[in-house]
Amino acid sequence: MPSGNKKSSSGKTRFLLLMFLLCLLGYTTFAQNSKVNLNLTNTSIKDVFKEIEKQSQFSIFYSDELIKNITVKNLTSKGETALTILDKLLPQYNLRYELNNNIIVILQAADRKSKTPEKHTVTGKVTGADGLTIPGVNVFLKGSNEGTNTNINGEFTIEVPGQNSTLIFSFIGFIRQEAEAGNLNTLDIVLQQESVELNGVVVTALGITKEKKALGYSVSYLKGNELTTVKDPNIMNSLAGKSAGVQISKSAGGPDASTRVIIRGINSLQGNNQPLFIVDGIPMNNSNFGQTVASAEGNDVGQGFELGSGIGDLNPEDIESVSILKGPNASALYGSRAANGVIIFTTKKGTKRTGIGITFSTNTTADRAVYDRVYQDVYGFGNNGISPVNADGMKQFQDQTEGSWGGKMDGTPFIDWDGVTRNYDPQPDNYKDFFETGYTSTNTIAVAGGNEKAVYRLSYTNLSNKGISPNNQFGRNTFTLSAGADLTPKLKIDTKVTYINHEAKNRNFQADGHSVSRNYIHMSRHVSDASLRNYEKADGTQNVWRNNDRQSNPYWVAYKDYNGDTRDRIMGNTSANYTFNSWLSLMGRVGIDMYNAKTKQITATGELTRLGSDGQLYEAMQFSKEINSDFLLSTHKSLSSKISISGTFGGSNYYQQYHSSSGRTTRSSTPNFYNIQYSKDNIIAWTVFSEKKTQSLYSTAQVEYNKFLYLDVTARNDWSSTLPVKNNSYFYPSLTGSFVFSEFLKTKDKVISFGKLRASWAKVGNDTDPYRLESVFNSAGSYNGQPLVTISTGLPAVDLQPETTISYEVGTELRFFMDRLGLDLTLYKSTTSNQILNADIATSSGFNNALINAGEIANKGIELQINAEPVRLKNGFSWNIIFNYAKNLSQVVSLTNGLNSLVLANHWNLTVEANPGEPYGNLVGVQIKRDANGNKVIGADGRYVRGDRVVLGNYNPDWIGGITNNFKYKRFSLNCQVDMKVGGEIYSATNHYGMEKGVFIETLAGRAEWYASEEARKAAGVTSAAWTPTGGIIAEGVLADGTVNTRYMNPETYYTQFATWTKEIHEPYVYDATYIKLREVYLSYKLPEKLVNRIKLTSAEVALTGHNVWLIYKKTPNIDPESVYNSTNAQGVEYAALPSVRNLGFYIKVEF
Amino acid sequence: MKKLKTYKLVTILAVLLSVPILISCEKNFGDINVNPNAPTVTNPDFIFTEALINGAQMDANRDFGIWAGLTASDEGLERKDNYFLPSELAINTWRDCYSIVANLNEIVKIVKDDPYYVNKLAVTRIWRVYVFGRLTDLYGDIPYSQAAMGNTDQFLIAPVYDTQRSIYLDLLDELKDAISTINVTTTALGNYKSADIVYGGDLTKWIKFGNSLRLRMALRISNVEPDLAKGIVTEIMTQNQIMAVNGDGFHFKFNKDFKPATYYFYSAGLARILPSKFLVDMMLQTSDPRLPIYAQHPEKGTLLTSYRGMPSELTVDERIAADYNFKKASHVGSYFLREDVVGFTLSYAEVCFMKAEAAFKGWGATPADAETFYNQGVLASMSFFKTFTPSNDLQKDPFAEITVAQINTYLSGPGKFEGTEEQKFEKIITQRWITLYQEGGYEAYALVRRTHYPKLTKYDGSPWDLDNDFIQRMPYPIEEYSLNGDNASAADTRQGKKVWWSK
Repeated sequence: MPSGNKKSSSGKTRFLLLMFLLCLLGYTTFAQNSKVNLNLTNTSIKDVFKEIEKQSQFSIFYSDELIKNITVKNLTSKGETALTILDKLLPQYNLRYELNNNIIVILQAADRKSKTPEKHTVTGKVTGADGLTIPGVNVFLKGSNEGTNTNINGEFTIEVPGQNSTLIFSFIGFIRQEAEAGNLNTLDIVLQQESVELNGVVVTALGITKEKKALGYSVSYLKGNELTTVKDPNIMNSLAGKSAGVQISKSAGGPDASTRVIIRGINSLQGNNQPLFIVDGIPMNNSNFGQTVASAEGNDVGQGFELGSGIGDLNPEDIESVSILKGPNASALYGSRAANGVIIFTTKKGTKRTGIGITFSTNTTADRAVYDRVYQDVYGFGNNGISPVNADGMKQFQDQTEGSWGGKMDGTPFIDWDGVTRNYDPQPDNYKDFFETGYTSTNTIAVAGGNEKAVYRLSYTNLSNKGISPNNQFGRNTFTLSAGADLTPKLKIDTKVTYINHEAKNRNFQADGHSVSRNYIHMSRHVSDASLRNYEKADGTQNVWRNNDRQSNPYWVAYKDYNGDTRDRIMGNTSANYTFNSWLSLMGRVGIDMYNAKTKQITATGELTRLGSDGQLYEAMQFSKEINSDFLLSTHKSLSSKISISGTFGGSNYYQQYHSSSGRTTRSSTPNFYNIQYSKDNIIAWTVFSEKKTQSLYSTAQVEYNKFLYLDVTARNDWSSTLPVKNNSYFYPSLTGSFVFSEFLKTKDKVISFGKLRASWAKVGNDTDPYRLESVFNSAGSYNGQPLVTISTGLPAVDLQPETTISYEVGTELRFFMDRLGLDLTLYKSTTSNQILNADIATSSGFNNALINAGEIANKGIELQINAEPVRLKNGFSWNIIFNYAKNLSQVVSLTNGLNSLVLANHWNLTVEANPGEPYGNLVGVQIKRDANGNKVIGADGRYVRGDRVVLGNYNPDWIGGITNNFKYKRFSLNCQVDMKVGGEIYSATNHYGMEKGVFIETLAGRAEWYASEEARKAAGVTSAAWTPTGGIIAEGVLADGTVNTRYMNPETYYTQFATWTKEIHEPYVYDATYIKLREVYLSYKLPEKLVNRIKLTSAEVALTGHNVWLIYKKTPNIDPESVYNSTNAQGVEYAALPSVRNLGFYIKVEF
Repeated sequence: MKKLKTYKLVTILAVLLSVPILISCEKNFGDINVNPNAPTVTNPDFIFTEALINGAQMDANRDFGIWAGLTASDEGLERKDNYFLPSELAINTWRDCYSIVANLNEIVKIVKDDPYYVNKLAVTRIWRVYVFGRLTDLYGDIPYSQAAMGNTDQFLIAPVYDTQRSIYLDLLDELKDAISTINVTTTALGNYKSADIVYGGDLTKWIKFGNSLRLRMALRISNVEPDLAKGIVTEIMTQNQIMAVNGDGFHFKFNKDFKPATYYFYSAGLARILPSKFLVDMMLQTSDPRLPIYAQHPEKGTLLTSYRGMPSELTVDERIAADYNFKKASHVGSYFLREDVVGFTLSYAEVCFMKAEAAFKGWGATPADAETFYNQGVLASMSFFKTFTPSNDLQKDPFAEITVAQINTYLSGPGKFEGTEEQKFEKIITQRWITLYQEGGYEAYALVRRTHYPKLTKYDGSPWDLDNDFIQRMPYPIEEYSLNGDNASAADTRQGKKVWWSK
């Protein structure tokens, strides 16, 4: 808790409100257990339970089997508590109950044991298909009345009379199943769900478990197989397309590149727009590990390579369930860092069971490049259809030449770039030959177990990947130990430690000269893979097809240059939970997330760079630490038979520290030796340290009326170290409500089985990064020992205020036809204002930018999810469909005064901008000039006239969606997921340059005709001006006089006109980024228990998996429209992306 | 017993919970946001050295040489785009200059109220005039009176543009005033000493530089404000507190950590900038002994045995047709490609030519003195390379010293100061222009715009149309239009194409 801070008067008000909420809690503390009044005769026990449920805060779960035919003759109760009534009532029918929070599970009382010698005990565990254990399952001995129920952990113990016993397992909502007990001592059973889950319980903010129907906002909840059927090393990529409105895009930098997750659009103009990630209650650091730059100059978009982002370290195999809280409304309690939503991961835990459960799984995929580029293989090096010849009349490649506008590759001998005489043949597969088949293999072994007092789970996962480009690989080892113990019946502790070790080698460069993909845009189509493989000359220098600092031989980059990074990360947390009594509990928790990372990058001696060819080294060490500690006091109380309230009061302390040291030598002093000390020039080295602290107090209160009306209030106050002291305290509340009208109307309608309306309002504040409040001086090195210092080019903030997001949300959840059709619809609107902007200012002010509060951005949208089970046959065949759809409209309402553009990225003068009055993420570039009628204007020289800089597109899609079909037949299950993104634009520099260089197939059109026309002209001895070309390409447009252009032009001129340095025209290369992809296919088969048991296993499953299986539809030639540079806000620009990867493989999981 | 156990556990729980809170209380909440990565106060000396280097380094930028006809590029240019404008040049020059001014303003803030620092203040002001002078010479009307004042209480982030005339008048006053406050008699008064990496704290040399700069600026406005110019020039010529030997020149020594841009281009195998055909042809014609220092033979193996300048105005296709490329043209001389080359901001040779021009005009000297000053200038220009021979260990090629005999031959031959009055004037300017090849080209670009000498010609020998083929004034950076739009547009409208002093 903050100490020594002056509280402003508004701070006092906030404090009072918090106190008020506290008092509410206090009130509940003194209230007695709610009284239940009953006066029933000859009532089924089921109805008794219903009546108790109605009058108390309890939900009672039971199986129909268990209470079948039980009629309560007489029951009167005046002011007794529900539990007292049950205590009296249940033993009469050989029943008992177990209490968990406010959930009562009715169970069979102790078995009536009769001792018969042949009897033996069978123990086991019952789980659902999702792997979650099911408590309260009836376990009956076939042909008798003997039976039991699974306990709270899904475990059962039953004595069976002999070798030929059969057990029957039944539970509400699941398909009844029989299993032969034989002489088995253990028998684990998986029950198949009968229909859509009822009244699901979901994990909400701060880990508070709530009934889904009580929620006033939209939450997606995914668990078990839904998540991990088809695995990507990064769990977020496996979530793509599974939840409405969650946009997940993977950057093009290879298998462990960062993933960008955006929920409901962009809220912060410049800041982080990704959600907060919570793992077992503790925030996980998802910051990018950084992007290195290829050389000592500049950091334009696409330079260097990126090192992935934090969430990629999470081991998909350890995840039990995921909750996605989609907006401030759901996440208000998490505070500042959750304005963009929260993704909550719950990891697998040990279970109370007999013996040790061992699970082994392996998932191996073959990864193959998907080639989107279509090259032309007719013409080679040179210009105007001619490949230059040397003095001897022999064709000879010239060092200055890029591209493929030369003569026909006719198979005649010529002198290649390396001086070797070869036949002038096309190399249609030179790009493909570079890539290899990669593989990704994930192997997990997990051991779990426990007894009445304690549970544990230990897992180890090894992931190894060999990339599609030579010598590129990465690996990850994850060890997780989680343990929980009931120290006393009231005190429970849980602890988890995860150690992650990550190592990557030779990541792929993006769009600079080291980029593989860039090479094959610029080089002539005659360059053979075999010639490139000879990447080193005898003198140790690079053998490269174009000898300047702009291109490197891709094989040199793969085998001579080096880059590698390692990361050791530890995440751990401990929590203690103390239950004072049935209505009050206290939780305390401490979590830590820290890593050490090391990056090394070598540009090998012999490779020409701007600074010579001595070789360069960049090396960095990073250390990051985050500590979160929090406590939560929770209570739940019934005030009357209809009203119950629950509430929490908590506080948290968040501390973040980051430290890095890095150094660079621009020229190695010793050839082929790379150490920071061995530098010809001044060593460039720098260290960065930063820390930040946020302290918070929060409280919630929920009122529930008669199980159909729910009202939720939250309040939170944050104190951030990054804001000026007088503005560093900020308060934000939220209010949500849910109305279950199906419950209210009590309709037993056959059509509508469930109906709910929800609405919410929330406000969230946000702080900024450390050290932005004061002007500083930066070191600029030294000159002959004289220190150099310059004032920072950024002006510090004056009186900085926190950012504010206000969000509204309404929605409905409807289920029809016995839940076989479900619909979830959300409408939302959010506005983020007072944005903390690092705004560009006129440099004549002496500074480049200033930190200011300005700018407003609004988002509104719709999210729809439909679940249906159109087919369910008696023979076990079923077909499920999940469809989701989301549309988000963003609008930059304003920037700072007078500012009409905020540039987010720049590639070759195509900028990604935020412009007031327009959606965020405009692609602004140069268009072809239009006349008054909108026709493209062609100048006197036959080329297009360069027009103005205009908005050529916007990178946000019109809508995104996904369809998942699941077919089940007995032990088979087939899952197909299709993702689509409709609308939105992408600027493709691959096409811009590739067309200019004449390497893509599109550039073939008109070439032969133009060259023939030129032949004819020369034969006729006519000047170009006096000749009317007979073939070529006609630029579509009108001449100055308004007449339609009909004159043929040289295709080479046509394509180069768009790509002349400083005169580029971007318009033709901004494409519609729509795509439809078959993202996942998963065919699994569960081996029969009989067979499995015979080989001493508990269960076994095999599957065929496919990821990125088929790009069904796209509008972008030569590229995958999903390609993006990185996970920053600068999306919508593509250049030299690596091919996307298709993963096909198998999955085996066995338990024993 | 059971009760006791419970309390014990609660105590343990409470202790556990308080641990993180205790840890977090180590550091006061308010102190946590103190930046450990960069200081908020610093020594003005450190800022000054950086400001000197930044300004001087820019003078070595040969992009301006293209505009002055001294150099040419081998990049993809098209006809009429000889003076093609890489937009980053307009942006970077502007941004860098204003950033230097902002840094100098920070020094002024620190030293202005302490009489002890009178010399630091004076030197800082002189350098600020130089930087502002360059800005206005390139762009015309610029933010001046409100410029680089973002970091003040006024938070001026959209400064108004002043007219070039008012700026020039104020700069000349400022310069005179700053020079007059230098106190050379009391060495105890704080000055930059070793932080002054150009003159090593020699205040007399700063006075000489200041007055030479005044001479340059006064001559610059001699067409539009002849009376004012005459007064200032006469005063300077009479007092004669200006540079007198090559060693007085304002020269920045590059080193391995601060290399000129040309060095990078060539070491990366990128030509970008080559001596122009116009310059090389002129020097070949006049057997100028500086040519082997200015340019290299085209690359070996090309069978080209003579110096061959790169034509400025050819398109890519035309250049291929005429067989020009990086390998088939003279590179910038190896003297200039050294890491430790000496950069030019204002040289003694240039001062001689300015004096010659003043004498030619009869300002502070007689026209008869013009030849003396002219000869002194050529001598200084040609002997410069001996004065500033780079250290041997960094030398690429043996340095070719120009002998006195060679200089005399030149001065009595093609370089002789003779002809009509106009031809003499042309000679003075042309010699100054050739000398300015050593600088990047910013001053030569101003010279050509003011005097229209030398008469630059195209590849085919036809003359350049200075009004239409030339960019007469650098466009303001695009960002000024978006971030300070009203002021920038108003300045554009009132000036037109040319800067005030070239009208």
